[in-house]
Amino acid sequence: MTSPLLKVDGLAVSIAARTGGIVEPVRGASFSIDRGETLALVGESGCGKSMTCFAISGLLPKRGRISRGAAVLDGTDLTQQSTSAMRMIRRKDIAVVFQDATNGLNPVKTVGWQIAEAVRLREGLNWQASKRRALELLDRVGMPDPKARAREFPHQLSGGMNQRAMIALAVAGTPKLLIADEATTALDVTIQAQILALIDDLRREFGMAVIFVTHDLGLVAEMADKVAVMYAGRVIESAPVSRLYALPRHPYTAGLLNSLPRIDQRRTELQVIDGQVPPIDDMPPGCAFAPRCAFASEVCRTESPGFAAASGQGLACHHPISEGLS
Amino acid sequence: MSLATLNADPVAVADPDADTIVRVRDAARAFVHRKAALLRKAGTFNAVDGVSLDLKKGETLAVVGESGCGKSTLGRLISGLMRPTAGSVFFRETDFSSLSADCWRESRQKVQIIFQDAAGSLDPRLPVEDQVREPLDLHALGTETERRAKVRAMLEAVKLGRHLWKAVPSELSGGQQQRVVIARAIILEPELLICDEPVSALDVSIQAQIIKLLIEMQERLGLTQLFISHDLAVVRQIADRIAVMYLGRIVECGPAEEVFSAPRHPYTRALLAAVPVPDPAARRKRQLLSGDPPSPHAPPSGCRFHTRCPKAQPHCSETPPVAQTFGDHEVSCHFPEDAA
Amino acid sequence: MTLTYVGWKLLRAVITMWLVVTFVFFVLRLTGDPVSQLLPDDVDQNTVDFYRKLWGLDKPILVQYWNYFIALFQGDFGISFKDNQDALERVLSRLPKTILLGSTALSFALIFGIPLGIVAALKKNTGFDRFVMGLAVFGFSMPNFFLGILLILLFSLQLRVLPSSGSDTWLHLIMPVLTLGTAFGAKVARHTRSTMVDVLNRPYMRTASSKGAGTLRQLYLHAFPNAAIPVVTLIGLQVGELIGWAVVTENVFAWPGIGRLLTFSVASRDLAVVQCILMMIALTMVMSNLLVDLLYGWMDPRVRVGAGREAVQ
Repeated sequence: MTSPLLKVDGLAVSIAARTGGIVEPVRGASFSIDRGETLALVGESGCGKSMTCFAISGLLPKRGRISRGAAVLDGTDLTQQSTSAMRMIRRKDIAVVFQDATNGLNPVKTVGWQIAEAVRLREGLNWQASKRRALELLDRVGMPDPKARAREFPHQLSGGMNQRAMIALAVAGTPKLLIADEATTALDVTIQAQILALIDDLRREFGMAVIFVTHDLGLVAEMADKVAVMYAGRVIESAPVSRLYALPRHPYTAGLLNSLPRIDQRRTELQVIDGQVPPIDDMPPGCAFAPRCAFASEVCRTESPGFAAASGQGLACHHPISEGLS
Repeated sequence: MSLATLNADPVAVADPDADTIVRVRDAARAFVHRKAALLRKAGTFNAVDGVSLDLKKGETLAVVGESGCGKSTLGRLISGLMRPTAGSVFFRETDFSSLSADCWRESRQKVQIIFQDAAGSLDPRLPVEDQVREPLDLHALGTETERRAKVRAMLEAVKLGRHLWKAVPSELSGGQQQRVVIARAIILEPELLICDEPVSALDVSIQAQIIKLLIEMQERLGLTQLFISHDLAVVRQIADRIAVMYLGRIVECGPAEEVFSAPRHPYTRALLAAVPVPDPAARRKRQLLSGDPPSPHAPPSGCRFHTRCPKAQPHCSETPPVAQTFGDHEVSCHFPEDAA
Repeated sequence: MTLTYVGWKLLRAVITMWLVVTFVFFVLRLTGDPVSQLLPDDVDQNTVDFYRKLWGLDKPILVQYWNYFIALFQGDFGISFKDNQDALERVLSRLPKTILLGSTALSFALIFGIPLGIVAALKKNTGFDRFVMGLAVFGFSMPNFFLGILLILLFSLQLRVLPSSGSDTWLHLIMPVLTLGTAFGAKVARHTRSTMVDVLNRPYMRTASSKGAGTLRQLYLHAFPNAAIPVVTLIGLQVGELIGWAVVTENVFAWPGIGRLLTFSVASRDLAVVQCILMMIALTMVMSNLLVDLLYGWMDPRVRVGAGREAVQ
């Protein structure tokens, strides 16, 4: 079996709070992704999914650092690299597409310039060649009338067009790994469908691995090969997508799937997970989901379940749901 | 509808033919998008451009569409927060396009609206208990004791923990804040509740809680609801009827199950097809619309959807379509789809 | 950035100048008799009347006003009472010194203020940041003349390395520039720091970082062009204050520029000269405001090209 492109093992991120003291937005993330595969990193707001990706790509804020764990990309441990080494890795190997493209682009530079800059940094071409390649990329991402758009500024383009521009600058240099951090959350659903299709096409053409960071379980079912579910800073379950949806083993995953409003069916009874996520600076001992879990027992409240990974699946739970339980 | 019914068994939904409580006829609302200058009049556009619909007592009508379609503006027109610049909006016999200040105030007892930003709708300094009580004080309903009892009953009905009643909004989570907003809106026992994207800002697991609460409240109080949302999955759980808007016009309107299972307008089809389904086995054939939506400031001629429609004919760009009716189901398209 | 936009700005500029001149005109004449100010006390009435007639001060004030404006449109700014020289010529002869002082001080303020502000922003909340900002507060709180006098005490009287008055050598320039430029530089540093801090937190900086852009590139090509926009605005609006400080500075150091001339002329009611100088100052302020407007429009594409172009299909 070939080794995965990226293997993340027990990654933890700590941030020094301004008032002194340390919070850990990520307390244990483990997952892996192969070349050309799509992994969805799923969770609700505050679960640490974005922070995990920032840690992997070296984009943590100034007060943040990786406190534990490893993230090995093609033989290189990303947690052990210097700032300048990570910068090189961001040029060649890892690219990120962010959520709000219109604000994520420099307002005083033209769209074409910003993509050309990415080309120059990533592919090392001279400026003239970079500009030409930028136009090619704009065309490839489906931008209408690329020449005109390249001369315009982000505030003149729609959200969907700006997102295409962001994608263009991300795939310049054909990275090994593309991280889409809630890349379609701010878009209308018909535009979202276009952008998702685009990312999928590019993935196939360039052989990239794609990590989708999202809270949208519909999107996950549509796009992902594998899923890793995060709760309160930890990956609590990971599995191939069909297995996860058919037979979720962690009570949180099951609860989430059952409480989803679905467009293809009207539910007579929407199930609900009572309570809410514990605050980041006040985590309960033991399993963070225990206060809300129907299956919680004494051991859940005292001992944090370890992440047990085997044959492409992983689970952190003392009482996983199996076929026998309803 | 009284305090007693809050805790009694659910009331059966009223007969849909019985009572039309909202009548909107050719309503339009113009906005300025380019300020007037020395030699130039202000440039205006119609966010809502000729909308007609009826709301029957006890039903939940969902208005859906993407950004710029005018659904929020329509919500404000129906609630009376804005006046139409053309056409009419009637709540029962009251004409919302020409209300005196007193009549408007009184109408607040019958029509309430809740928004997406719960924290923004609440006073950051008042304890939530007082905020839920405020409508009763403003309209001078009941005695002191009665008001306190009502507030208690309301907070219990929206399942807000007792320990939070004296808290201020910043101490509550998004879901809890929205519960307070709902309590405050329905404490006056309105006939019509308008919800403008009430769950869009909430986490998925909290969305389910709030949707459930809204359904429950509606059943117990016999509320009529206008539910505005861009999230079709949420809408499917709560709507009896659904109206689809595009660039200021309603393109399709009908019973929810019919519209979801057999949409007749190409836009509705594309919209439904674009929403991802949380089921890996159900990966659908792609039906992508091309291009970006046109700007509402300069809508296309004829049928506004013709620029992105996979079935567009030359005729579509020339004449605006007339509404065609199939039973309870209305479509504005020159070439509506057959019942699939 | 349309013609109407620029046209309106120019019209407003002209009206402003007219208001300033009118105001000064009336105030100067109504706050004391210029003739008795200028002539020695023991002069006889005939001489007084003679000069009053010569200078046109015997006519009613409104007539004087009218005549003044007529003369203005013909390029005649009046005669200096002091030495009968053409007022405009007198003013223009002193202008270069003020320009030298002003531009040097401005450059000094920018050369020190902007980099300090940028570095303070990059090292936000560290000792360096706090030190620089503390210095800045000190810098612009200190009254201008006080700083000047302190410098004279230190460098001229104690250390005897710098001359305290006049303008002959470049050594004479140092202390006036420091006096005039410090407060301004302090403001620039503070403002630069706060706009930089704001810009560095924007999402597009993260995008630049994610492309693999190095720190210098991020600063120079992404952060600074955005942060510069509000700073440029500030500079333009501060020009007026700078002129006011320049007057004080010139008096402290006996710098032979327009500021010193202004002080003399007001004290001696040399009306034509005062009016001439004030018009020039008004013109400078108005021009700098206009320049800032135009520059701002040019620097920020959101203003230049206009927001909300229709989304193309």
